[in-house]
Amino acid sequence: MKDKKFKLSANLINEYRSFIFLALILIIGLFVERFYSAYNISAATGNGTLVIWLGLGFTVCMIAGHMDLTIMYMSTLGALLTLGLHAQQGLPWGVAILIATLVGVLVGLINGLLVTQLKLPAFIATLGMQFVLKGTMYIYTGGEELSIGRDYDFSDFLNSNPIPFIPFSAYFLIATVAIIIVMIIFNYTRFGRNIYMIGGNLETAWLAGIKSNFVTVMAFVISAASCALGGALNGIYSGTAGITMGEKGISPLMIAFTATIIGGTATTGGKGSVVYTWVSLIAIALLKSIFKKTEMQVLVIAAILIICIVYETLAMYNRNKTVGTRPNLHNEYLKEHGKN
Amino acid sequence: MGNASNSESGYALDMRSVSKRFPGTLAVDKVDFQVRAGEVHALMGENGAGKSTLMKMLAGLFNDYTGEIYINGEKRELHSPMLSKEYGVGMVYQELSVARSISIYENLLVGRLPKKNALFIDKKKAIEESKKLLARVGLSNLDPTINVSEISQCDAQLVEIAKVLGNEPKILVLDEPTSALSSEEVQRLFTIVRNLKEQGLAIVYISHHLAEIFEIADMVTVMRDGKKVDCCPIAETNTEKLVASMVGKSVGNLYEAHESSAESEEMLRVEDFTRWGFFHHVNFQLKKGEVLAICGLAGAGRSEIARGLTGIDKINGGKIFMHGKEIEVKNLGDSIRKGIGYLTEDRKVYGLALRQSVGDNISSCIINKGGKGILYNEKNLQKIINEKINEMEVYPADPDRLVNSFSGGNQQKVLMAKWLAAGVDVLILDEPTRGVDIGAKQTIHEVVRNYVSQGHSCILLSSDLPEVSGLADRAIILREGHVIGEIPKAGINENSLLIAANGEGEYVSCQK
Amino acid sequence: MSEVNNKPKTNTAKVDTRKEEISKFSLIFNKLGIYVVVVLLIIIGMIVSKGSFFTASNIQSILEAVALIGMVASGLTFVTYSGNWVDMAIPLTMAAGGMLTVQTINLGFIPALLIGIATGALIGLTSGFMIGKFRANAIIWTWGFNLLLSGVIRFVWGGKQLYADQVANDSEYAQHAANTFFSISRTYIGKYISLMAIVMILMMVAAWFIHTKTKFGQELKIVGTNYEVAKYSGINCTKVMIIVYVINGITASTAGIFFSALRKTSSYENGTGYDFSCLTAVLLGGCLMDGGKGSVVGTFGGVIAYGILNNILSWIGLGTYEKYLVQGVVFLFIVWLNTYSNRKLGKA
Repeated sequence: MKDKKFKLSANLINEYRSFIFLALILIIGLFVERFYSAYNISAATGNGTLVIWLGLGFTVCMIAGHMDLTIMYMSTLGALLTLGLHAQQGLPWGVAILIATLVGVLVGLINGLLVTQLKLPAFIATLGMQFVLKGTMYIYTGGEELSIGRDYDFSDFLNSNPIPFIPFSAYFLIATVAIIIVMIIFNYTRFGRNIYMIGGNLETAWLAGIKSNFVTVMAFVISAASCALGGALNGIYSGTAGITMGEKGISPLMIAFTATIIGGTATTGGKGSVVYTWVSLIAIALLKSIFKKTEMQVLVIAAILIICIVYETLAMYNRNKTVGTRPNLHNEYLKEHGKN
Repeated sequence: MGNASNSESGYALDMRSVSKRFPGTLAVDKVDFQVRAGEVHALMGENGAGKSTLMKMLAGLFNDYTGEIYINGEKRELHSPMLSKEYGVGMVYQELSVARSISIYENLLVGRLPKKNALFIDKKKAIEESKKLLARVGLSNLDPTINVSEISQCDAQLVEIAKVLGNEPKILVLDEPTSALSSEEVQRLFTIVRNLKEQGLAIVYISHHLAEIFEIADMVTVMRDGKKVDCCPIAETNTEKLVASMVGKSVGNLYEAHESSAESEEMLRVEDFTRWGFFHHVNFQLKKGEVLAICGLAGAGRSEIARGLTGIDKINGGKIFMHGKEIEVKNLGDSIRKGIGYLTEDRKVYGLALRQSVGDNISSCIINKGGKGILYNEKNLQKIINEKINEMEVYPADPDRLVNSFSGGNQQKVLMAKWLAAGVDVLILDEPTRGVDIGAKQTIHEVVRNYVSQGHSCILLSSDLPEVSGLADRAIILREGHVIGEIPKAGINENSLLIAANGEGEYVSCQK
Repeated sequence: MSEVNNKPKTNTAKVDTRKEEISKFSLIFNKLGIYVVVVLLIIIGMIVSKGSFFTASNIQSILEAVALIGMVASGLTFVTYSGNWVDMAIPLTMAAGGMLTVQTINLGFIPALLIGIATGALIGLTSGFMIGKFRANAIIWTWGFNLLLSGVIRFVWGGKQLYADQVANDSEYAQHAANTFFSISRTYIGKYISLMAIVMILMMVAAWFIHTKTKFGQELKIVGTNYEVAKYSGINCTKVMIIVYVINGITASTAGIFFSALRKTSSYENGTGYDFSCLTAVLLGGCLMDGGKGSVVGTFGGVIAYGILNNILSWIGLGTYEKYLVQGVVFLFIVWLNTYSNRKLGKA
């Protein structure tokens, strides 16, 4: 019985490991100078907001049982389009962002159709789409960096802290609202539960009459659209956008992937939550403000990722070893060893 | 519920002259199939006879069948699973099709979770509804919010049936529902099936087990080569007649009486063999030339003993003696070298590399004999491969042919050939003839007899009781991980095996 | 027993010939298809280059471009063949091989080379162990492992680039070693054939030999087709997987060493993009992503085709970046063809 209790708490720890991760970072933060200053919190979470959008997309696809590698270039494309349309074509922000998001929807649609219609494995299909997007972006910009140019009003708003006494930038809050909306959709609507179902067992879902192809495509569309929107806002928030945006430092794609794994989303699909990913991403964003050197950030984040992967692998390995144990024989074993 | 008297024909399901063509073959050829409401209708036939195709047609998995299907007298086009479900067809598939990481109530109500308003689902109502469904299959004290991964196999099977019942089907199709259940659980299932029958459902029951058919069915239809060959009330037929119409000719006794080729010399002895939680303190002895059956209900630990003996799973205690000398087995490769082989059940998952050739499969246990040092040349093994192909009568006898182009029976023969090629002294046969046609079954049995007469030994783990009583020279009885008795050759028959496996009867010597 | 054996067998199961046709067709297509593509590409190349396709400099540039990809692909073939799609740790395995060789150049050229290769083998060993023994998801594990390696290398060397001539101390021995190191990617045998291309072909031959002529290759065939079946046939799957990844690690790190010699510098970014291009080449060569089908001969064809394709794109006048677009589309097409023929095979 003691065994069971221990197991239960271990499961609980595992379930909430993203919160534990965040708590650890916050505790370490106590010993870091100016960590708890409003400016630091606001800047750290603001700079980490782009990956919140990416993490959102990645988690959504992973719950549906797929991996979407295009998220990073999708957000870059979103940023480039928005800045380009605003600065060069002179479109207002709203229209530019809308167009960027629609392009995201289109790319998500292509990803989804590659996976559902041509039956390509999502990982491989989006690996290829990455290069298509990269090429497209070069053709669009010619490799130049784009910047806002004039009109900093909207950018200033995204950088400001709109709610008094709460040190979070508007950009971060918008992303958080998006997370909450997706969370509600996933937990409380039929569509959301269907995403879990197709991730958990695609055949069952299909036989139950869930339009699994549609749901899968929608998962990719949500992913790409949120990345495009996030990228667009990020372009305005930071004022510049370039193709190599994602390639310097630690790749946002890897951060999104890491956070999804730390958040406990099953790599096979059917289990996970965007909220856990969100918590891990905040933790990673704060972690970055503790370790200023990129090398150190990469090492720490990679180490945590590897620990999670190894833990999951070993847990699965051990579970498979004892799967099928008969309860009454297990009791007999305990009895015999109690005697010895 | 489907009230049959409303419809003209009086049938809940009436398939008229339906056909389905696959490239190259006519899988279902102008079959008429009728089921009344309140009737359990067994559908039988060898593998490849077309019964699965017929049922898939009913489930709406094909949109290019020909013929007419009437459900409760109305003509329906079953061109998608959705349509089929809407018209009242409920399919319970052979493989479990529940999502394990998802809660029970969501599995039960998949695709039709109740909504509170236009946007949100109504969890309370969903749980209430699923409790009602679970009660229909006798699981009223199961908490519907836990995940399917936390409940037993049998319960998961019942949840699966409850899920199908949730769509209020008029026709319920059960495809081999007992394959993963023990005999107590089968009885539980039958009670539920009888209940459903009384509620007025038309039930199509697919099974290979004749005993089950005679117990539960009212009518039986037999298919062969895509055609319906026989249809009659169960009271008007018997085992011999059914088997005869299934195989297309009358067979005499499938298992002829044979002389035991067992010698007094000991081949294998196992002492105090234990893997905690799976089998405890197992002792038995195997003689040269003997076929020893380990019999027991599903989940008694038969396959686990085999896995322990061959080093696939680590054991916690006990000794293995081969030819009187103690041996230690590290893994299956080691075990094959020391003379113990293990023909696994389920050839598609554990047995055969389906996308490779017959030759590659047969040689897969003896790759280390394929050349000197690290070198490998298939020519060195060609002789033994051809020899085993001929011995097993694999048809067509082409070692370069891919295994997945063979029929099920021939695939099983290839699997048997692979283990004959391994040349082990003790061969453990785990369900060697599950799901194969009778011709292949006979060949495999002959080869097993032949094999032991050459001075090897076999351990037979099989749920097919006629097979055990026909092949085994001796049987030990395993129940809940303990050996509880032994049946000598003279005492082995289907009844004694079944009784002993349930822990009763004269042969049970010790009861834990 | 003889009495039983004499029974006539009339009802042996019938055979379905359509399956045979499909599988035979796919086999032939998988084996030779890529060389048809190569010939077609050469013809297109001759047209778009207006006859200068076969000039020495063009052949030389094609060979140079494919040499590194070919080296990595020779090892990656084993990974794809084993049913694990792709090794995402290839970029950092290449980088690590280059870094370690440059860092230890003071020991002499040959020891440094061996250390670099051994690094790759060690990385492969780790991956193989996790994937073979503990059944880690190959993609997730190698992807995560790639990040970890990146973290370690960036941390240890502070994200800096290494130059062999700067690392080497003043002794003549070390300077000589550094110079030898630089020269390996610039040596030509005869007039046009570079040492790199020779090494690539040698590695291909070695891979072909291991793949078709050894017990390991035969075991890999079963493991790649179905891991469980291999396990239940007494094949030591852990060992096979470890060998697969060690081979892959060795080829990747060797390519990494040549790459850093070619660029004269070594950094954590050295192998970026090679996972993708090598996978393209391997899949072009007819390796099935589900494992168990494919050949090194095919991969060689795939590598050549990939090289010629890039060459043609240059002749058309596309820059590096515009090429990405075409490469992505080609990749998607190849993957589609691959899964499509696999489905055909699976049905058969």
